[in-house]
Amino acid sequence: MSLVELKNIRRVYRSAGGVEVQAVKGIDLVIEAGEFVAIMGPSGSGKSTTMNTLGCLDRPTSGSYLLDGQEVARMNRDEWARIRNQKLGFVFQGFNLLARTTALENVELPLLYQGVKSTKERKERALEALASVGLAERSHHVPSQMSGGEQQRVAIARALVTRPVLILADEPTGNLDTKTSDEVMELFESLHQQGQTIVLVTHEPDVALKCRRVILFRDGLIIGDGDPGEVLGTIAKGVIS
Amino acid sequence: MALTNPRYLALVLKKVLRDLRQGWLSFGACVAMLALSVSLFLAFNSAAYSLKRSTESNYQKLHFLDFTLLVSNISQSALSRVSQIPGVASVQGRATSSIKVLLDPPSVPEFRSRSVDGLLIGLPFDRRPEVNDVYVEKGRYLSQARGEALLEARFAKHHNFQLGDSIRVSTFNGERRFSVVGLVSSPEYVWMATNPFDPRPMDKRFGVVFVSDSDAFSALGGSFYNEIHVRVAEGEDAESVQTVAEERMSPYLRRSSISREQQPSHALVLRDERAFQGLAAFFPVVFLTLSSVTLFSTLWQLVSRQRRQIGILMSQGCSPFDLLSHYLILGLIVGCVGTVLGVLIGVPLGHLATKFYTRTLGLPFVEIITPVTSLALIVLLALGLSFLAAWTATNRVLKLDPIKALRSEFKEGWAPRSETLLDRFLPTRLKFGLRNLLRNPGRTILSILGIAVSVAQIVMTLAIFDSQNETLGYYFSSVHRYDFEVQMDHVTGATSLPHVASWPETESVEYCLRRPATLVFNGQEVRTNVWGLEPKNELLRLYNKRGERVYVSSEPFLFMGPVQMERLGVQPGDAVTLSLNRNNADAPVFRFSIAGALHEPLANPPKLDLALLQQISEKSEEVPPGGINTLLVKAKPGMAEALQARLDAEEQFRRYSSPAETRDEVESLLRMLNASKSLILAFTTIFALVVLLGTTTMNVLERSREFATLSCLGVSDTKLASLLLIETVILWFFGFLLGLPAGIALGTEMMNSFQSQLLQLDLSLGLSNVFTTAVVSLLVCVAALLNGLLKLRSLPLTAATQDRFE
Repeated sequence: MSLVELKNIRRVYRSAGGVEVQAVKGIDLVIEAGEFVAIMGPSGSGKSTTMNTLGCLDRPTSGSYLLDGQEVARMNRDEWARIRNQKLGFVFQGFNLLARTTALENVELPLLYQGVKSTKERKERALEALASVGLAERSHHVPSQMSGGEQQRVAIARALVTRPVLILADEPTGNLDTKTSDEVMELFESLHQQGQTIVLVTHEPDVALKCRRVILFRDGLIIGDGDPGEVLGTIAKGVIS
Repeated sequence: MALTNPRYLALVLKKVLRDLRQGWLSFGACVAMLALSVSLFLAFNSAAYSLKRSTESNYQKLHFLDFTLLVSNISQSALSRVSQIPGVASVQGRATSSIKVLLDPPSVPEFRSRSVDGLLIGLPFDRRPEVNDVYVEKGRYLSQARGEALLEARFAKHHNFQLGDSIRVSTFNGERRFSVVGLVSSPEYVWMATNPFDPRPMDKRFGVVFVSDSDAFSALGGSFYNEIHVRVAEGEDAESVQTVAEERMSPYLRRSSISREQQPSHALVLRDERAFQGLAAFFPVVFLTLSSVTLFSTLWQLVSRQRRQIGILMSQGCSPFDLLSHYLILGLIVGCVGTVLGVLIGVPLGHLATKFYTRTLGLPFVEIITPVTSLALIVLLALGLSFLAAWTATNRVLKLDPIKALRSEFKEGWAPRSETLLDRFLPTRLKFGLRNLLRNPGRTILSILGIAVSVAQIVMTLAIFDSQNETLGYYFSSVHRYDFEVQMDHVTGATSLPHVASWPETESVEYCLRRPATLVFNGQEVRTNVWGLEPKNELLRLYNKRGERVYVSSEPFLFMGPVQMERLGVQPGDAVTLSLNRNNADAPVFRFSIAGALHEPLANPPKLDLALLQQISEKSEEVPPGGINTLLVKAKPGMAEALQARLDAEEQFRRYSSPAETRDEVESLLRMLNASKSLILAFTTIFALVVLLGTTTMNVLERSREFATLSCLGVSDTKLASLLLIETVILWFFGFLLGLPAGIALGTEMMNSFQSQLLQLDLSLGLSNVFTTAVVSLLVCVAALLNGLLKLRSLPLTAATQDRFE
């Protein structure tokens, strides 16, 4: 059984002027557990819509979405919240850490809302997650006392702490310099080595090349899917031709 | 300046409208608060002004006196001594005498076959009086020398007197009968009161009967005036004219003259004017200040949210001043709309309050005016404060660097470097709530202030209601325990009276003697009644401040409440002199010591032992030994009506009253005060809702990214709502903590402004009302949260997680 199965997913937006925009035009996508996938594409290609669908943040107009064997496309808001809390981990481009809240508390937060009542257990698991991203020693620092790379690593620890089946990262290196981007990608690579399924959206070929699979979007359709070198090669050829 | 370009101006206005539409709730809250402040200010000011104008108009049209000389038997010709005084415009001699109005059926059932006190006033029948004219509401003015009467309209209404009815009055010279030809109102009785210190409306138990001079002379037994009413010419100093008149008429004066300010009705009207002005000054200013702070906070938040937009506009060449002008226009639009709405609500509200009040008083000429100065003042103040709030909130735009404005910034904030006690001991959810409140201290303070002000005003209002109820309850349940207080016309020996105690309807009877007396302490003279009570008085109980029973003593002690003590300037233990016969300068003087103060919120005359008062009465006046003139009677359960019928049947017991009637009068007195307080209570609740609605909505908008992130992390809507609820409860808690003592202090202050020489209320606030305030304020907070929760439910998660606003 695949971890993610999107079947004929369509998403139609209606603009304020009443114009219909087909953001995703009936895509099929399967992601197996343990995969490390990059989603690429120009603006308006449908990659963000697909990512939002995968993250149970946006409801497709039609189609089916099986996550870990469970149909989630038609669930209500609370069920989605539960799915996000238990099965998904999010990493944002802007880190989205709570200000004035320590790294430990930021990481502890999903556990709190998952219903882990024991403070001790929550702290232990949060510290463990922070240790896995190399930040155990900075657990009592607040975001404003940390660098961008450190903040993103805290965000990854927060995504990891609930032991999700899938981590979704939306441009995780978009706000970082090259060196820090490399560090974050090394962290993702290491998580992938440990068997974690990761899907990230990126504009940067360098980042995509570090993944095992690249899915290329254009005009709401998947136009390429496979080995990063091959898919990125196709893009390069297209550009040259 | 680009604003002079019509196309640019149109664009700015378009953006203003868009911003208003997007933040309609926050701006709506600002508008509502401003409107409330403006309307309250206008309503109270206009009521105070209209009341003043209406009474002045009545005084002018009916030639209300400037002062009264109380004289002994003066003839018509002697009046010229006063009219010749420079500055005197007109003089009117008047024969007045105390009477009893005999209430024959048909009358109201509770007054059947009874008599009430009243005043017979002589007026010229062939012309209108030059001073203190009457306004004929129904019927006509006197036209015959004898037999006609004009009746004070409110008294007539209470006792169902109609034109053509016959009215019987008992005078010193026997009973008289008149035919009612007109129902009138008099400028002397705008407030139907005979004592400026007793504001209880007397229109039910005091009848003013105007008859011809001849009839009044006949009732007095002579052809003399005993009052001279004087009107001073325009522009003349009434006080100096009064002094000259007093000097000139000194051989005839029986008491010191009475100025207009001392005249009971006018004194009470002035008291109400002051109360309205006090209300007009205090509450709107508090509301207006908070309105400005809310507008400031809303615009501050808007500028923060639109930082990027500002950067884009600046990078395209828009000058900071043009950008600022946009926000100032926004602030002014909010200010204008709020002010206009406030005016639209406030003016009719003021008119309504005036109508209600003048109708209660029965003023025939009513002038309802919204003072232009008040209107101009509040409009300028509201617009000025709106502009100031907009300017202070947005002038940072002038200093903004376009590059900085475009750049995403992580808001720096204070945070502990190591684990704090807060981290260690506070539950995580509560800790988040507390931290979120520190995120925007300005908004948090505004919310707390909003709650505190609202709680304070609710507490104040409820505390005043509580105090009134407790006082009335104490007065009418604990102190006055009888059903009927029978007052006899003359002091009579108890043994010669019907044996009321043996009536089958009677549970118990106590005798009292009430005498007019003069008390003197350190040269300060107070004319008052004194009451002699039986030693083990049960039907009119006395208590001290601690709630313990106090009994009159056979020793020469006077027992009085704080109001009487203040009037006389005495403390417990002081020695005062008491004399009974006011008409006899050689009347014996007795020394009394002041006993410990009684708990007597409603001032009653000083009390002493009945036997003691009987002894000194015998020495001072011609009264029979063991004389009494008042009976306190308690009926057996369910037999009050039968007892009343018994009293009605006895000629000498026909003048009686019941505590229920007095309570009714006091409650009617408090009606206006209660109406004002209810208005404030309603405004306060709306105000609290509006402040909290604004701040809660801002809170959610400001933190949309945080909420979206939490939602992405799997926090359900219910849990997010509980997070917001915890924050709201914390805000409410601090607001309540501040508001409770503030409300008590405010209530004490308000009560002090309404204290009179009759009434001295101590503020009391029942636990149930504290609880009610807590629940109501919390419910208002939660209701205000609902809009925030709705916003939360419709939060676009994908966009909100990328929102750059912290």
